Amino acid sequence: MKVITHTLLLCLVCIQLKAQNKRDTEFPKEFIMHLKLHNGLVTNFSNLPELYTGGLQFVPQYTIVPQKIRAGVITDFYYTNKKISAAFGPTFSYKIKTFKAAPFGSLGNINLNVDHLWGTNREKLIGGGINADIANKIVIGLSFHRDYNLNTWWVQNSIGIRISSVKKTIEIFNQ
Amino acid sequence: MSRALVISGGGCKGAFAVGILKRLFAEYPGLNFDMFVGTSTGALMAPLVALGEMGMVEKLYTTQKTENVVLENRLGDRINSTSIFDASPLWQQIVENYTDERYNKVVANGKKIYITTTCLQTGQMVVFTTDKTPATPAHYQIETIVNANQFRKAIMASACQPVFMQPIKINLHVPGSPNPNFQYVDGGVREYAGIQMAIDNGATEIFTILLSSAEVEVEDIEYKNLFSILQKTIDIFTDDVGKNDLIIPQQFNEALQYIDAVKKKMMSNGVAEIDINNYFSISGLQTPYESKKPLKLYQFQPKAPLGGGPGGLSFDPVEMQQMISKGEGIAGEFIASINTGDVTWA
Repeated sequence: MKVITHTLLLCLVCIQLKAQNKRDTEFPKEFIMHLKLHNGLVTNFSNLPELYTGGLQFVPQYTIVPQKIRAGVITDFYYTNKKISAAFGPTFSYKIKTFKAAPFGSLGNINLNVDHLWGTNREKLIGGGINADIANKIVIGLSFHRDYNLNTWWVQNSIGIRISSVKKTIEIFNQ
Repeated sequence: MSRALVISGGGCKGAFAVGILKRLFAEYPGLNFDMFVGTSTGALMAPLVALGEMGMVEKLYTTQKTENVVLENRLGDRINSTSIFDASPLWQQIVENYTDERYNKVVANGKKIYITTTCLQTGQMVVFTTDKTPATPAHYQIETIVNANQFRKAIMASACQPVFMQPIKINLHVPGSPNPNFQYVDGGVREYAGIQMAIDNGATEIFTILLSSAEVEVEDIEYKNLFSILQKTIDIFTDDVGKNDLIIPQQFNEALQYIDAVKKKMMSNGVAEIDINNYFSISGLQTPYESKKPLKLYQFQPKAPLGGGPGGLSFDPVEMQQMISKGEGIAGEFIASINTGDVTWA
């Protein structure tokens, strides 16, 4: 366990050093919260009918490696199989691409996320997805999760908005 | 004789002006100026040049990177802001370098510094100056600086290109100011180089350093996105303001030269000087030409565009070092070509 912890810490330091790009304006050190609307299907790729799923997620995150990684939790309320359920678990986002609007800043980014969710109906979902963050306002994404407890696959798309406020620039020169 | 130094706007291209001044001061150690007119980057340079701190000016214009001047942002975050970039790093630099001590030294030495700005509320050009008794021309407003903080804010505002950098409330804490919340931006919006200001305040020998190129560069590229078109448009605007800014002083000087030639011709034909002056003095009609002698205008300008990104806001130390070299080259050509009889400053 100690070895794993040390290896993870070492990886984090390496990523942090590599990520020291002051000109990259995406994934700055900040708290961010998205509200996401998601829907899709639950299947086990057999002859059984697929189930519809849809819900609402709150995803608060904090940047742990500026310009690269955010970590946070997902609180999910969803409908499937004629029941409303909830799920909760950790999530990590890794930025893979910044859409630069050189030399003025950036327009958005593409990031990958991995997460693990424990559901109220014995679901244990592990998986992730790809997201496009547009103008730090809207996020659209596609996700795949494997429920390794109930032996199903969850394939969903999502659209979200940032609900946490953006830190305002303090203009000391105008005070 | 009153000698003025006028430095135009241009962001990091100010390094070209550093090269010009470095070479001129090296060649003519006795060269000094009675007034300094600065727009934008010129406003940042003027006080330090006035104090003879060329070493510091050179250091500033060879070590700064873009992030030491402005911060880039996520554009989505700036939609409800007053600018695309955040100019806080520039303010930090101004606070560090344009100290109360330096301001007091400028005032104590009687150095007349004119900093051009544009007021967003009135649309007028407003010049902030350390001159206690400045000229009060009709076509722009002039305000005497009352303290070091207002001095710093005037420099900051002059350097803040609208849309890119935040407008500045220069008079926010100035006692008795009628409009403390008026916002000011780069003086280059209205006037790229303050040559007219130098003339209005009695300069007869004017060294003007322009940071946009004299020649038009024909580019063999296609502008394919919004940002590159915006960048090019700003460059075209700046060039145009610069050209218009030069035309009026040049025409003014040509008129003075013409009047002077006519006067000399009249004198050579036996008309007494007192009579000539009477002919040229019309009571009740004030002209800008009355009692003015032809000016000596020395203009320094790069031959080709210097680069430096939109509004000169891409600060690259290597590129700025090259700009200094280009400035030194242009000053070298001036030194080689000027008639020794015209050198009043050696």
